[in-house]
Amino acid sequence: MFSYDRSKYEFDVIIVGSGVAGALAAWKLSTYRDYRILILEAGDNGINEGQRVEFHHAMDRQGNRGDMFAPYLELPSRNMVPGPEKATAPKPPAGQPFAEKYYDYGETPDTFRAGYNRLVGGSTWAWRGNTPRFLPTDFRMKKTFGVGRDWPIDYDDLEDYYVEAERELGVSGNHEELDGLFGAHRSRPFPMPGQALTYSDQLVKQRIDGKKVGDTTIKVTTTPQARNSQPFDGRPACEGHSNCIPLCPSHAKYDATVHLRRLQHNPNVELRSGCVVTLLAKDEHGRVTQVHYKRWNAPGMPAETVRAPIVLLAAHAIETPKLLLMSNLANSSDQVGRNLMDHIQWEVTALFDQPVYPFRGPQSVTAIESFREGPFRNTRSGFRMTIGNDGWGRAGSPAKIIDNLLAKKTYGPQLLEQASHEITRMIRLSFSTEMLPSRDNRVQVSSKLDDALKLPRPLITFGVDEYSKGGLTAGFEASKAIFKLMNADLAEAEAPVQPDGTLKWNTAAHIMGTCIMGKDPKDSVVDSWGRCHDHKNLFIAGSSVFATGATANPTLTLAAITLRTVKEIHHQLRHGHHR
Amino acid sequence: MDEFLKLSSLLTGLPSLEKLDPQSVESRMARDYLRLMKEQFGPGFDALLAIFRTVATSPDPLKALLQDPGFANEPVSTAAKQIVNLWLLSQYGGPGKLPDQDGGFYEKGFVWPAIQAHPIGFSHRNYGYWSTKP
Repeated sequence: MFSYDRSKYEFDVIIVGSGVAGALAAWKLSTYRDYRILILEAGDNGINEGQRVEFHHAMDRQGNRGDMFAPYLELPSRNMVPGPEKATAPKPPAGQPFAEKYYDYGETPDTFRAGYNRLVGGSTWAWRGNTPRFLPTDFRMKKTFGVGRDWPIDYDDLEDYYVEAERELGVSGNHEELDGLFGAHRSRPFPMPGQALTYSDQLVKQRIDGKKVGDTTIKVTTTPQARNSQPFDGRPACEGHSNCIPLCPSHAKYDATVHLRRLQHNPNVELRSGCVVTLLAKDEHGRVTQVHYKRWNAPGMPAETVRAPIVLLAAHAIETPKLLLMSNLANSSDQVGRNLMDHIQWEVTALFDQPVYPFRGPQSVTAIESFREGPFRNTRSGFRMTIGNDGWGRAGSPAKIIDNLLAKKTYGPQLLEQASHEITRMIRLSFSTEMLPSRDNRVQVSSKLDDALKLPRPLITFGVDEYSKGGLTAGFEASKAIFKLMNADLAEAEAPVQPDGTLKWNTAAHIMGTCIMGKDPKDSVVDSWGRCHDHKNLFIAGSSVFATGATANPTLTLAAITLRTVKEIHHQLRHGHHR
Repeated sequence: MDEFLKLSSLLTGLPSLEKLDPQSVESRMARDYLRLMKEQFGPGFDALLAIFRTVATSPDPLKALLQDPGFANEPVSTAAKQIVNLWLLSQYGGPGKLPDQDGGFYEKGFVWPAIQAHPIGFSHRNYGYWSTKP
C-alpha cells in the first residue's frame, strides 16, 4: 500500500545545486535554525577523501591534465547529466561542426567558451581558488562611467559578508597589500597570511615592482586565495602540487565539499544527488512551491515532486535560467537568460633570462591589480593580470616544448638539455577583462537538442563586445611592456585583436549574469536580496545574479551575496513575509 | 627488449636505459612501453627498428638514424617521437597531436628531474618549498 512519507517530500527550504552557492547557503541556513533543508543535485559523486583519491587516479588515467574535466570523466553522471566539455574551442569555419556538443550554438556570433562541472560540489572541484573582491565602482558602473548597469547594492552593503565569506572559504591573503585598493576598504584581516611567494614571483617582483607602464605604477601583490597557507578548518596547508585546476589532491584548497561535509550528519539536511530538476511549479498565489525532478540514478528513473515554502536556485548561470525558462517563471522582465557574461581572457608567454623553475608550488600566487581601475573604463574594460607559475599555462606544457624540439629533430643528449633550458625559464602573464551586460548575449532553451534524460540543452547566443576588446588590446600591450621590464624574451605574443579584426581569446570560465539583480522589476530578475521580483518565495544564488562582471574572479563575491541572501531567507521564514 | 632499450637510450639521450636492473620499476616501464609501441605504432615501430639495426654500429648512430631517408616517413618519425614521449612524460599520442594518452608511469617520467620539478599533481613536499631555488 502506498503511504506518503511527508518527511521525504516536504521541507522548509529546497536548494537546487550543491556548488559553492548551494552548499554555503544550506550550511548557513542550518546555523540559523533547525530548518529542514533538501539539496537537489544533478551530479552523483562522493564528497569524502576516498572520492578525491579516485579523482586523482582518474586524472592520471585520462592523461590530459590541464583539462578541468579530466578527473571527472569516469563518473556515470558524465553521460546522464552532460556538461560543456569542449566549450573552450573557437567557432569553426562555416559548415564545420562545433567541437562542443552540450551547448546548442544556434546562430551565435561566437562560441561561449566557459565550461562547468555538474558535480556534487560543483565547479569548485576544479577552480584555482582565486578570491579577490570586487571594487566599489564595479557596483556602480553606469553612475561612474556611463556604461553597463548599477547594482541595487554597493560595496559597503557587502563588506561584512565579504569578511564572513573569506572566513567560510578559508582565504589566505595579505591585508596590508589590499586594504583600500581603489577604495575597497577591508574591515578585517584575512583568516590566514598570504601564500608564500614562488621563487619565480620573487625574481619577477624584483624586476618590475614599482616600475611604470604608461601612467600606471605596477604593484605585484599576493592574490587572495581560498587555499590554506597554514592548517585551517581541519584541512592541511598547501603542498604545492601545481594542480589547483583540475583537482587539489590534498584538499588544502576550498571546495564546496567543505560545507557539504559539515552537513553530512545533520538529520535536518538531506543531499539528494543524481536528481535533475525538470520543472518548478507555482501555486495559485504565484508562489513557487513545487519542485519536480528526475532521479536518474534510481531504477526506472522515477519522477518525484518535493514541496517547500522557500526554493533557492543555485544551479549556476546556465542551468538556473534554463530551468526558469523551461518552467515559464520569473520572466515578466524578459531578462531571464540575458546578460550572459564571462571574463574574456588572454595570455602572453615569454622565456626569462634565467631559470625560474615553474611547476613547483601553486599554479599562480601573485597578481597585478593596478590595471583594474581608471577613467578609461568609460570606453574600455580594465583588466586584472596574474603571474603564472605553471610555465606557459594553456599556451604550452612541457609536452609542447618537447614536441617542438622533436619536430626539429632534436634527439639524444641535446633533447633534455634544451627542454630543460626552455621549460625552467617559462613564464606567463594572463589578463582577464570585463564585458558589459548585453541583452543579446543569452541562454535560451534549445528546441533542437536534448540530453540523455530528454531535457533540452542550453541554446547559447554570445559575442564579445568592443568594451572587452579594448581591454584585451590594452592588456596585451601592458604584458609586452612588463616582459620588457623583466628582460624576458617574448615567446608567443599573438595579439588578441588582430589587424583584420579577428579575435583571439580564452575563457576564464567565470559564467555570470542571466538572472541579474536590480531595483526595477521591469529590467531585472531578482531584487537586491536575490529574491525573484515575480515570485516572492523563489530566490537565486550564484553569479547569475551579477549585474556586472567586473574583472575579479566571481567566487568570493557570489559567496558574500549568498550569505546576504540566506539572511533574508531566514528573515522571511521567521516572519512569514518578505521585506 | 635489448634492442628497444638501446634505441630508447639513443633517442632520449638517457644512457641509464641501456643497463636497467631487471627488478626495477624502469624495467617494468620498458616492458609496458615496448608492448604499447607494438600495439599502437606497430608498422612505424618495426620500420624504425629496421633502420636502427642498419645504423647501430655506425660511428654516430643518432646522426645516421635521423639522416636515414626512411626516418622522414611519418609512421617512423611518429614512432620515434612516441618512444621519447613515453620515457619523458609517460604519455603518447597520435601523429600531429600532443601526447595525451596515459603510459601508466606518469610519476616516473624522466622530464621531471631534468626540470627540477615534481610531476604535476604529485608534490610530496611541505608548504612553502616553492619559495627557494631547487
